[in-house]
Amino acid sequence: MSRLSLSTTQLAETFHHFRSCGAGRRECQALWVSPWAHPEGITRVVHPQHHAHGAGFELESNWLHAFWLNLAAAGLGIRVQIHTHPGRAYHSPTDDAFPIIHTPGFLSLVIPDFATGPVSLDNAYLAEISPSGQWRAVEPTDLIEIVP
Amino acid sequence: MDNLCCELVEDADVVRALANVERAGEEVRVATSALEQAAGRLSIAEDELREAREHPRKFQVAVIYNGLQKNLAAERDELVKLLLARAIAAFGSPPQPHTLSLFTEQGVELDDNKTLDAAGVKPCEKLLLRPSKVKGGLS
Repeated sequence: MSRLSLSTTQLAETFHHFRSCGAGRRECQALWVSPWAHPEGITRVVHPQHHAHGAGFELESNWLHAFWLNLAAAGLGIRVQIHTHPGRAYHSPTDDAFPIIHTPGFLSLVIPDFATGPVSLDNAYLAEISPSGQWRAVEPTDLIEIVP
Repeated sequence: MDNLCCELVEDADVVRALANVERAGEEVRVATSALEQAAGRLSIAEDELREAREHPRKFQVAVIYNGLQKNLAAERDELVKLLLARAIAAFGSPPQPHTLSLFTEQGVELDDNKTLDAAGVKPCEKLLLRPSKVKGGLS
């Protein structure tokens, strides 16, 4: 996959969702979306409707269905799923088993400490679905570029 | 004598004509019967045509995954799980296909073990290939 381009504003918006929704007590998810015509340039930060608690979250099925139709209508695709963990960032067995996208090259970013730390990818964990279908750890800065 | 001969000739013509009328009548009866049979067959053929148009054995459906749409061949009598497998392969063989399902545009999840016909899938219908569940976290 080509390196994704994300603005500092979009990164701040992502952290804002995590902090306002998760309130430092619950996990939360966001999605980075871009047009299929220019997949490398993230254009939207989406905050899905979901249930969450301190150790997990699950998306609302009705919301997911409507979102799936909206993506097709707008010519957009999900490039990265991002969610928080209460402590350190890593990819749990649940994260491995229930992603929103299943195709090789899809990225899953985990932000530690309910995103209460600095607005950056420092200490974040990035996983990618390999061509064999397994998740593998990758260096965030290798695949995501934060631009002003 | 002249009159009698004339009547006899006339009678022969009448007899011949009556025979023709009777033959023609029989032909009408045969033709009417054939017409009725043909009308019956036409009605059956029209029903078959309507059925074939409304429930064709082979058709296409549109499948949406992550914002992309692809048209896939489908068969009325095949199981949903076969179409699901083809849809998953069409979008790049996702590694955990057991978490993906086909949904109608109205949000109804298709039963993998039903035929497309039994599941109510129509030609040119738009279907969504998406996860049944999306979740994450420590638990």
